[in-house]
Amino acid sequence: MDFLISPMINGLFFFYGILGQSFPLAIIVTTVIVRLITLPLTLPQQRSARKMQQLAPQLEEIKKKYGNDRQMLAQKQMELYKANNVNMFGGCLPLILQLFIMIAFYQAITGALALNPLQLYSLGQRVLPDLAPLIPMNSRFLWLDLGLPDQFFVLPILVVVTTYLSQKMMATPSADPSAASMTRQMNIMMPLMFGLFALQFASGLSIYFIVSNIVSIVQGWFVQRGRAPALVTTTGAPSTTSKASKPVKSAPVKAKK
Amino acid sequence: MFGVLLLTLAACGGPPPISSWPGFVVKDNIAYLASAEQVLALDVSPDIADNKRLLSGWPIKPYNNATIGYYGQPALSEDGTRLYVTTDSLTGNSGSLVAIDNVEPETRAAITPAWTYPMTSTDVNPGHVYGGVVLHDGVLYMAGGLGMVFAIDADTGAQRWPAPFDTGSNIRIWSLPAVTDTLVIVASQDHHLYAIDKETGTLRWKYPADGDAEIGTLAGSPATYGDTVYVGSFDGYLYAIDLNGRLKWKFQAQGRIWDPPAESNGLLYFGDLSGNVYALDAATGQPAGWPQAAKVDGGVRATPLVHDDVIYVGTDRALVYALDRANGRPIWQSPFKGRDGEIMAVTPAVSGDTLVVLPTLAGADPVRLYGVARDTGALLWRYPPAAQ
Repeated sequence: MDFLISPMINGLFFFYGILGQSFPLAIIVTTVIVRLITLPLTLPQQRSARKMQQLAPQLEEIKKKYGNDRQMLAQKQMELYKANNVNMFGGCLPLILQLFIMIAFYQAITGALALNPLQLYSLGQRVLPDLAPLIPMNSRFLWLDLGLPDQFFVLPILVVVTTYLSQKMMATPSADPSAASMTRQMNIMMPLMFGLFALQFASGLSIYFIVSNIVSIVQGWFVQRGRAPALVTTTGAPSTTSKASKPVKSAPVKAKK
Repeated sequence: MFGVLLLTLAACGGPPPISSWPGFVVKDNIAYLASAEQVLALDVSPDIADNKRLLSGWPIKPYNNATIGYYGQPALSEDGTRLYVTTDSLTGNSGSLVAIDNVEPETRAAITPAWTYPMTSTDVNPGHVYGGVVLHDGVLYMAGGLGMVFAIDADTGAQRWPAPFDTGSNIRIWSLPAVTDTLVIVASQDHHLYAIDKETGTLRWKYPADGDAEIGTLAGSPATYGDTVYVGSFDGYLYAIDLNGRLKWKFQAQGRIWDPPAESNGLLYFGDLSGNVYALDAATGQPAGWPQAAKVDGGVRATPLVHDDVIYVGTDRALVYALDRANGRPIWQSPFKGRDGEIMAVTPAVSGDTLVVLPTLAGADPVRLYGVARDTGALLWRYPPAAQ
C-alpha cells in the first residue's frame, strides 16, 4: 500500500503548494487525477453497465420465457451476456482496485495532515525535500477540520446523495429476481454505508468520496450519451447446450437522448 | 463485495487507534511512564522479579473514564511525591495537565489526582499536548496544539501568566519548552522559535524575525546550553541562536532533524531522520572529534544520551546503538534490537548499569519498556514480560 500512499501524499503536498495552500482544493485535484489514471478501469465498467441496461428488454423476455426454470434462465442470460461481450464480473476488479485506492487515499489524507506525532514522523520520511517547507498543512477549511469528521453532517449528506446518484448511473438490470433485488438493496445500502463512514472518518475523505462520485456521474453521463454499441440477441429456443442458441445480430439500438 | 468493502473499511477506519507518543522520567530505580491509555511506575532494577516490576497502585487510567491518552514527557517534583502528566483528547483538539500525588514507592496513601488544568471553564484549552511538561522553579511549562504556551503553578495548578502566550498562528507546538533563568523558549511547527519572558509571558523575540529568510518546520524541542539555544528543523539544519535571538551558526545535516543535540564537554551530539549521528563543536558548528558522521540503521528522532563517554542512540528500526564518544564507532558488537514496528523515539535513561529504553509504537500493546545492559547491549528484562 505504501507505493500508493507516498505518491498520493506528495501529490497532495504539490497541489497544496500551487493552489494557495488550500487542502480541499488539493484533495479535489488529486482525486480528479486519480480518477483519470483509473479511467481505463472504470470506463469499461460503465460501458458494460450501459450495455446491460440496453439488454434489459431481452433479459425481460428471457425471464418471461424461462421464469420457471432457474437453470435455463441463468443459462440463457449468460448466453446473452456472452454474445454481447458483457463480462458479468468485469465490475469486480475495478471495484476492488478502487477500494484499495480509496483506502490509500484515506491514509494519504490523514498522513498528509499528520494529526499526531507518529504521523508527523512518518510524514517527515515520505515528503520530498522540495515539498517539506509546506509542513504542516493547514487542516482548517470553513467550519471543517479536515482531519476530523464533519460535525454539522453537511459532507455526510452530500456523500449519501452523490453515492446514490453514482450507483443509479451504474445500476445493471438482471432477469434473476434475487439478483435484481440484491441490486436494489445495494443501491440503497451503499450510499448509507458511505454516509456512515463519512460520519466517522476525516472529512477530507468525504471530499474525496463526493468528488469521486461526481466524476463517476459525469463519466456515466458521457457514456450514456455516447453512441450505443451494437447489440446481439439470442434465439429463444430451449436448449441444454449453448450450441442450440447461436447468436443473431440485431439492429443497433438507438441511444436514449 | 459489499461485505468485503464493509470489513476492509471497518478494519482501516473509524477513530484512529491509540498511538503512543510516550515519555518517561527515571528517579533512582523507578521509571514513571506516560503512555497512551495509562501512567505506570515500574521498578527498573535488573534483579527484580517480573511480577514485582509494576509497582502497587499502578497503572493509572484516565480519571472519570475520560477519552484521553497520556502523551509526552512527564515531570516529577523534586521530592518525588508528585507526578505531572499531560493528556490529549482522543476526540478533539484539547488536552490537559494532571498532577498526581503520592507517587513515591514508599507511600501508603492512595495515588490520587491533586489537580487538573484547565481547572475551570474560563481556563484556556491548550489543544493537543504531545510534548509533555517541564518543571522549573515551581512552575510547569507546556505548549499545545493551538499554538499557545502555558505557565502553571506546580502547587495549585493556577496560571502564572495573565494569559497563555499565543503565537497567533494557531499552529501546533508539539515539543517541550526549554527554560533558562529568564526565558521560556518553544519551537513551533509554524517555522518559528519563540522566546517568552519567563515572568510575564510576553514575547521577547522570535527566530526568524519578520523579514528574515524562512526556515523549515520545527517539530522537535529546543535545548539550551550556556548562552545558546539549539534547535533542529525539517529543512535539515541545526540552528544555534544566542539568547537575544541572533543566529550564531547553522549546520546542514544529511537528513531532517527532529530533537535537539545533547552536549558534553563543548561538543554537540545529535542524529537526523536519515540515520546519521553527528559530533559538532558547540561554539562553531563545525564537525569535531569524529572522523565522520556515524551511520546507524534507521532514522534518529530523539536526542542521544551521553553517559560515561558513551553515546546511546535509538533509531526507528527498533535499534539502540552505543557509540564511542571519542570517535563515533559502535561499542557493542551489534545494536540492541527491540520488536518490529517499534521506534526508539525517546531518549533512553540510565539507572545504575541498566539502560532503560522506552519504545514508541502504534496500535495495540502500547506500553513497553526494556532494560538493557549498558556494557554489552544484552536484554536484561522487558515489560510486559515475554510470557504475557
